Amino acid sequence: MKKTVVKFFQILAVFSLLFLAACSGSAIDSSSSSGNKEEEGDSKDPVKLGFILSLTGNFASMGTPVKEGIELFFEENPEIDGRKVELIFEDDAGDPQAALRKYEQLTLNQGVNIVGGGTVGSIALALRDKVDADKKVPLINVVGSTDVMSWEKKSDYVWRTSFSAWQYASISGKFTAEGVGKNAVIIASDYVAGHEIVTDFIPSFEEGGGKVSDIVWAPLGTSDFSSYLTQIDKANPEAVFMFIPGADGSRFIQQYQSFGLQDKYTLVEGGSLLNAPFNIKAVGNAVVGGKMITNYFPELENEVNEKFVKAYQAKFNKIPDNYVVNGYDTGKLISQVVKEAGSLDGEKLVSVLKKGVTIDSPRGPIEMDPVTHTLIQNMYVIEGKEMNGEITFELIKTYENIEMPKENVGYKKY
Amino acid sequence: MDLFIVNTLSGLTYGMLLFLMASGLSIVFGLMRIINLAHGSFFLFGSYVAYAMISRGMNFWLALLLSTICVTVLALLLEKFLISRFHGNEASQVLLTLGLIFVIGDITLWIWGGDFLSIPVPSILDFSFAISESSFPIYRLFVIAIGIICAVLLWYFETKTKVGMIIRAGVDDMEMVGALGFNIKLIFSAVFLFGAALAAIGGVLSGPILGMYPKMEFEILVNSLVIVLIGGLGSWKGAFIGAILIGIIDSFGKIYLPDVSVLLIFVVMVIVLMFKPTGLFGRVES
Amino acid sequence: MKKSIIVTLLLAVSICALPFVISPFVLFMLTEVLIMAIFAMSLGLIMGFGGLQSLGHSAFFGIGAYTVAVLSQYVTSIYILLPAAIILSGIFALLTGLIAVRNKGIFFLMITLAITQMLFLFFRQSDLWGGADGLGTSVKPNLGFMELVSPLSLFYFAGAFFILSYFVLRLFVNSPLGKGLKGVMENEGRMIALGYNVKKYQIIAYVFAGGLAGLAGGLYIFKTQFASPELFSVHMATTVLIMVFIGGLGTLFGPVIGAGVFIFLQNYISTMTDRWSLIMGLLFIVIVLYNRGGILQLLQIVGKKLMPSKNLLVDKKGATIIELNESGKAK
Repeated sequence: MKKTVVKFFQILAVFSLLFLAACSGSAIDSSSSSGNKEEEGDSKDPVKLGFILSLTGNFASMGTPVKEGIELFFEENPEIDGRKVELIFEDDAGDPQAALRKYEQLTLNQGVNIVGGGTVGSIALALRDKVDADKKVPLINVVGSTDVMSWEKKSDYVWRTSFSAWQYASISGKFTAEGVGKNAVIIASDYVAGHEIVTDFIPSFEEGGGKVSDIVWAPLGTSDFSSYLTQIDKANPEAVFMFIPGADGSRFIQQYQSFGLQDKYTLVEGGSLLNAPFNIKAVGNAVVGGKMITNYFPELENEVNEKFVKAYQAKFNKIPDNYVVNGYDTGKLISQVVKEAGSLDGEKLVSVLKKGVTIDSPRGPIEMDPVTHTLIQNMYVIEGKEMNGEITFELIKTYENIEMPKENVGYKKY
Repeated sequence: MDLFIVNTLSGLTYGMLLFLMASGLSIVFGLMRIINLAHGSFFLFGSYVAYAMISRGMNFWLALLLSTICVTVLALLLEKFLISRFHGNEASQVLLTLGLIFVIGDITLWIWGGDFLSIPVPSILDFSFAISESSFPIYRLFVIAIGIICAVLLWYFETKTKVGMIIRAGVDDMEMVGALGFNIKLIFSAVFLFGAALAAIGGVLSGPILGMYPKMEFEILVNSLVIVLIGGLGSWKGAFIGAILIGIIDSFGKIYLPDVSVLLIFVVMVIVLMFKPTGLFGRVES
Repeated sequence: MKKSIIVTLLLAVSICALPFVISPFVLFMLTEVLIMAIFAMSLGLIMGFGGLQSLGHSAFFGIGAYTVAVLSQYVTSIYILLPAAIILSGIFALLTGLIAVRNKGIFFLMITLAITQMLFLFFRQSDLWGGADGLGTSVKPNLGFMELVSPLSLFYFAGAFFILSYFVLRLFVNSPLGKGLKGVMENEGRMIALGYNVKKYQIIAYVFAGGLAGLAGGLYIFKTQFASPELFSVHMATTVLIMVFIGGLGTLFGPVIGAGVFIFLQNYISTMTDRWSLIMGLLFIVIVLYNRGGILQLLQIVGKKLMPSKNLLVDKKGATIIELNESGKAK
């Protein structure tokens, strides 16, 4: 009796494997054959857009909103210049190696015209190297913020719709010195992006007359920040500048409150975390009084944004964050570039981008800088408030048209 | 001085959370000779279930109780239908639990999504007390207290009750206990469930401090394995000492040796194992 | 010996012929399969023939990968890069092996896990070699007389190393050393009584497997041109362990099939649904529950049903493996 059961399962397993193999085989066939058909047709070729995002794993809270923004834009604009838009989303689970594999799949197997991706810096850099070596399809970097992609590692084929570390950190430094206090402690995640932010923060903070009394490096994956909190408390600063992305950052903000630091020192956050919906949900009123530098926030008052927030709420039933806008603007940028190029040829698309493209974005008017391949955009400082138990964010200062330096500024590295 | 006190207390808090997790791991091994790699998943699953209840307005303490029961039931099903099929086949049991990590992890991701979540501190414990100029949340003291209470209960249970004596004998010689007419299978199941319940309590208690997100089970699992290796497999006393050691090292290492703090616990582990391959309190010959 | 040569030749012929019948993307995937197959075979050696369950085998793969990625900034010749990858990971295997092999079973598993986790944390936080961002390189396999640039040549390059590794592993398994190792796994007490130095056998196998995993890691860099700390992760170690298991433990060729099935399944399932981890976990549990021999054994059973006249042995010796190659190729 038992043996037959075992055998049954074995046979079942083999059949399911064979079935899966058959499915996968047909997946290749159908995609390639449909591609051929449309080429033969009279109408223009469809635009195939492939996106490699972190949709599962630790960075899903960044990848998923980007995806939603892209989906929203192409639902509103299903065609570009008479071409149908075909969206393909692939998950890299936060692993650069997986992202590279998906890139090969999208370019070799699906034949996409433009690739989007780079939910975290490491993936953006890995994809950048591959795209630059291939020079076949342009890459729109949706989040990766590392400065070198505007400078030494700039590629004709790589363009960024988010922001750079320099844009965030130098404005954070400027604002902290102007608006919070001259004595600050920095706490940052101990990895490349954290070091980069600190490197960019300190010169502009010191230029404004500020003095950094301590820098605390927290390893990635730190779950208990209490030792660091006592260290900050000892330094007794006016401002605490933090750059700790993801779940670690939420933990920090929460423990910052429970150890009573929230009321003592002003928190300045430089990693678009403070007003992220998931963060507010997790830490609640611990964000109150905290200040944050960002290129977008949903309460922003302009016509495009009002329409955008409404449309997003109708589709997803929640408030958009700046990752959604990165995705949305990625769609907008692609659509404008394809329209102007009138072709899907990689080289032609790149030549349009190199002329400079202006977009009417929910974050205000933005311009793709042909020199640094990064947007020229406003930076907003917002502050967390609590009203009738609701957490909201209020604009306290705007820095207009922040432009990346054209070349590496050569700050002292921390 | 206050820096020293606060860091010690923080280290103890983290240590106690790890102790709740590691003691179950260790006891289960001592008796059944298996390492349940999915033990971290019990921890995380417990905190997610409690989150689901508390976010719907349930009282923290009731949620603690219910989610512990919930995890225990899950453990019962897994033990009954999967793990018990492999009595005596350690390799398969370990690999089975490895597969369970992925299954449980992905189901929690499916239900609760990939965002960082956290449980609010129960209002009765939501205040701080001052240590000269620093303040320390009372909830953390409560966690330390729970950890110590659990350790005392374990000690009492092991040395003063009949069941404890049977289990103690079982660690040394399982066949002997079976020959004396005790139901080995029942003892196995009971110990497995008990370990799962401890992990779930640890998970819920850690909710307001560490929060939860997918893949956190690996983080907790690796730390607990290190504790169990340092303390010695099969001994909850070892897990207790090991957890305190790791908590304190973690907390002070961050201040005094920031560059290598993440590696410190592994260095301690390697040193201990070089001089005492069975761990500090290990009775089980490796 | 003769059998080993025949099997190896058969493998070589099929690898040479494959690119004529498959698409460029499948070729790209198969290159990865070949490299991961070397990695999986090396773990299969210590697990299936040495009884050492490792959850830290990714340590050697990562060291091999980083060796090539870092050194490729200075030299490009594969005659320096790949031996360096093998030697460095071999040395690391020796050092950690001396600690880990003192323990058995679960202890061994946990210590290897801790070691690889340590490397992962170190490389992620390190200021050197790109840290968490990883390290890109533009290195292509430089054979001295030519540089391999096209995907096809890379496939043959990986294929050549795969065949070489397979052949060497076969020799190793059938040598007195390999037989002694298996003897230790099956009955350690008897081997000790017979006067064997049991630990020596295990350490030699461990170092050998470590070097081979380092080779696979080095080859991997030629394919992806990018090293990142994720190569050391527990996830990577688990992945290769699962490959060995779904393919078939205790065989040489099982892990190869496991690597192939895993990589193709992963790619297609993760495209169709986000629930890949769940499916993989369930698949793994089913295999552990019902079939310790993995897919290789399943194929044998199916083969027996289809061709009852053929004499297929289930004891994983040469003759069976030839049959399986053919049925494997048939689908």
